[in-house]
Amino acid sequence: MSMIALPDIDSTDILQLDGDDRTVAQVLRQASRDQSRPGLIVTTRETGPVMDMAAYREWTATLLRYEQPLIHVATGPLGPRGIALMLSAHVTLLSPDARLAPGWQTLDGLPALLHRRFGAKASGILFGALDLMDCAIAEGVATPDAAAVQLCLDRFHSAEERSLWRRNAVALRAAQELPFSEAFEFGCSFPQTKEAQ
Amino acid sequence: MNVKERDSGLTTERRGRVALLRLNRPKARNALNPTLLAALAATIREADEADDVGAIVITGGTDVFSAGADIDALKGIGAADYLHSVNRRAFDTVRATRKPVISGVAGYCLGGGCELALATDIVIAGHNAFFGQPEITIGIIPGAGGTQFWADRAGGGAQAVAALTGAMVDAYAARRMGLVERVVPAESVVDAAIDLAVKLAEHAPLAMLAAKAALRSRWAAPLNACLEQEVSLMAGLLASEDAAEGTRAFIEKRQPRFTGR
Repeated sequence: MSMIALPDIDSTDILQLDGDDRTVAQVLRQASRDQSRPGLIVTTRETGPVMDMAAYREWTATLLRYEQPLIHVATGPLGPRGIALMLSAHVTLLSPDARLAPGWQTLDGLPALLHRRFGAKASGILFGALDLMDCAIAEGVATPDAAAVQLCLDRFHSAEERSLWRRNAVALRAAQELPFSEAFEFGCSFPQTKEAQ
Repeated sequence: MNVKERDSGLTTERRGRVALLRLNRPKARNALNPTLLAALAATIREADEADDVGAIVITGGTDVFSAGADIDALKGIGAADYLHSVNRRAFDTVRATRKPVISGVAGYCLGGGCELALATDIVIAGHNAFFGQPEITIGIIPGAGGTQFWADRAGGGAQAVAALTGAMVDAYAARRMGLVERVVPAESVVDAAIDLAVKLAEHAPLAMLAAKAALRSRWAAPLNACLEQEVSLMAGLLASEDAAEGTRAFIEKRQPRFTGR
């Protein structure tokens, strides 16, 4: 798997989530309501700890409930906020210099976020037996592969994919929240699916 | 399709043996005002009495079920008025319906809207639904079952959290706690409710009436007593300065200043 620089992404596409948690919550609240967006591409340079718990809970909830594709672009050191973005996004695109920053383990709610993405491996990550970045790549949570990154970004911007990706994002959350049989029924209940039957 | 438009903000349709009642005040997020509630009560009574209706669906469409009572309308109701108000009679009518009623809920389902949904027999939620009883935040309490119906479906703890904190729960949390029976994509919520209603309407009419009567019998004495109590409490609160301040602050988009009077 080759690790090369991320392809150029139009900077207007990227939500730079720096600043305090309150600002991040506000930016994400507004962006998530913008129906004209095909989804969100988010990134951060922030490596410090969570300072405003209420705002942090709000912005993570916004991400976890987001109904469109959510891509995280990880560059440089990943602190608590970067880890929260990685574990909340549908996929993280890793630049070659992406690495864990000291203190990333202090992220509030980390065990739940890890368990949601990695299941039983969460305990290995939390207690030092497994490397988070290795697991993220192995489990498909993050990719450093240049071709995969390019394909993901191309499809993100593709008008043909938009409806399907939105549907997948909604159904994926249902799969995380509901028992299997109900989640499967959910996935079969979209209007287009029904027409196809 | 038989579509009957009314000026009330309620649209009614017939889908075979199913009566579909659609709250239709999109600009007001389907807020429940006396005109809408009166129309809802009259229409649901009509459907309940019609021989060719087997089941009833109440929905607000795919964006919002109802953001609750129209605060402007509530502002004009006094303590004595509330006991005999259109609002109160409308909710009584929904609860007294003999035929099965299904609600198809998408988006906000708050306050009176939540009480309306929970007064139905089966709640189908769109994935974007949020349920809540925020009345406490404006100095009043739920006045149409919102201090009782959550407990009936989800337990006393969930009821207490809803009524005492005003916090909302999303569709998935509502499903886990038993507040709703199914979660579907929001764009399918009306169809899902109709599909189920069609199936119910195919069952033997007498058995359906009997089943519903049996289901509701455990409400008879104790719940009615609770609802009477709730109405009395709500009526008293409407005369309070806090309720006036709460509704005023809501309309003026500012934080209320409660004095406990």
